[in-house]
Amino acid sequence: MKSSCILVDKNEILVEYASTARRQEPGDKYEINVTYSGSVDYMLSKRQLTLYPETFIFLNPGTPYTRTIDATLPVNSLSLRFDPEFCQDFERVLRMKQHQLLDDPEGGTSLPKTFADGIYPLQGDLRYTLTHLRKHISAGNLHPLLLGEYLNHCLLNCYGMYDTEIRDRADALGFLADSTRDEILRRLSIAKDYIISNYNKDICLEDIAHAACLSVNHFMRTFKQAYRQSPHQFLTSVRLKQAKFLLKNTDYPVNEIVDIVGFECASSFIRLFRNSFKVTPGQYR
Amino acid sequence: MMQNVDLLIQARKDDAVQDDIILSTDDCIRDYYRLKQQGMLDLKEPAYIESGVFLEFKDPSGNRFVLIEKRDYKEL
Repeated sequence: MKSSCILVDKNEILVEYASTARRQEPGDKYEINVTYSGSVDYMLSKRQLTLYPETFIFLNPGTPYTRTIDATLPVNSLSLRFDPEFCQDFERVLRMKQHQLLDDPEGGTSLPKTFADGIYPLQGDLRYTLTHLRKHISAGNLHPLLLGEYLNHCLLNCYGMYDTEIRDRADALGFLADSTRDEILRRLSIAKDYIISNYNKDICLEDIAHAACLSVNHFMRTFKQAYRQSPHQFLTSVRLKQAKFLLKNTDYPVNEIVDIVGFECASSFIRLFRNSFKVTPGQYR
Repeated sequence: MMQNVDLLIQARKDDAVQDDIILSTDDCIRDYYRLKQQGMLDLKEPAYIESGVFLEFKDPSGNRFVLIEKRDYKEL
């Protein structure tokens, strides 16, 4: 096991390479957690989240949690931990800039944009910023000012994702009263995290709806509104995404990948893959 | 100073600003840090656009440089 913690101002960057690890964390910071191979389990009070490649887990301060790695191959993970005071300052500066930039002063007051604890897709600018940051860390470029720039941009990129990940989904449920809408969205996001965390298992609608404290019908209807796809389509897209990652980053045979990501048979997997990405798994690899 | 930057200089064809020199880079944030360390004049923070992220600065003779890191946001 190899683990190092780099301090940047009041923030921390934790780089870990381990096949087994179990740690109680105070959970007193804002966190962005990613893994580049293998999975990491997070146990937050009664909720279990599993972190896979191509996704990130965002955590707010205030919930102690347990982080567990238990794998045959070492897991390559990266955690950014932001001091709450640092984030407040960051937000204040951002708000000021928005005020200066926008003719509409109301636009600047739409902050704070709070993410719920949960799993989000690792894509767009955040993906790029983290890739660059990781490159500098492995090359030993650890100047605090350099790393600080990347940390700033990671936060900025998170804010950038707010519209697609939160606001648009809330708007899609727009007919409800604000408080109802936020509560439904919160429960749907628990359901979404449940699906991602258990994507390779045989899960059924009842389990997901139960995890989210919604009735099956209510869950189906509202999920489709907010995520613009049915829960089953969402699960399939998570499986295909992970299959894509495994095709590119491992040399497991296709049959084994089909098994790992939870598809029942290779032929339906190949058909789905081809329909979604216009290439066969073999060609993609 | 910018040994890692691809020096791809292209004059802007449209008539907007004739004097801009556009360079492409693979990591705009790193370049921002380096230029800042060197006390570059009129250095603007990296900003996001549809095709990626860019920054602007002026050299001592007043030439305006734009550094662009193109990013592919389509799913890989």
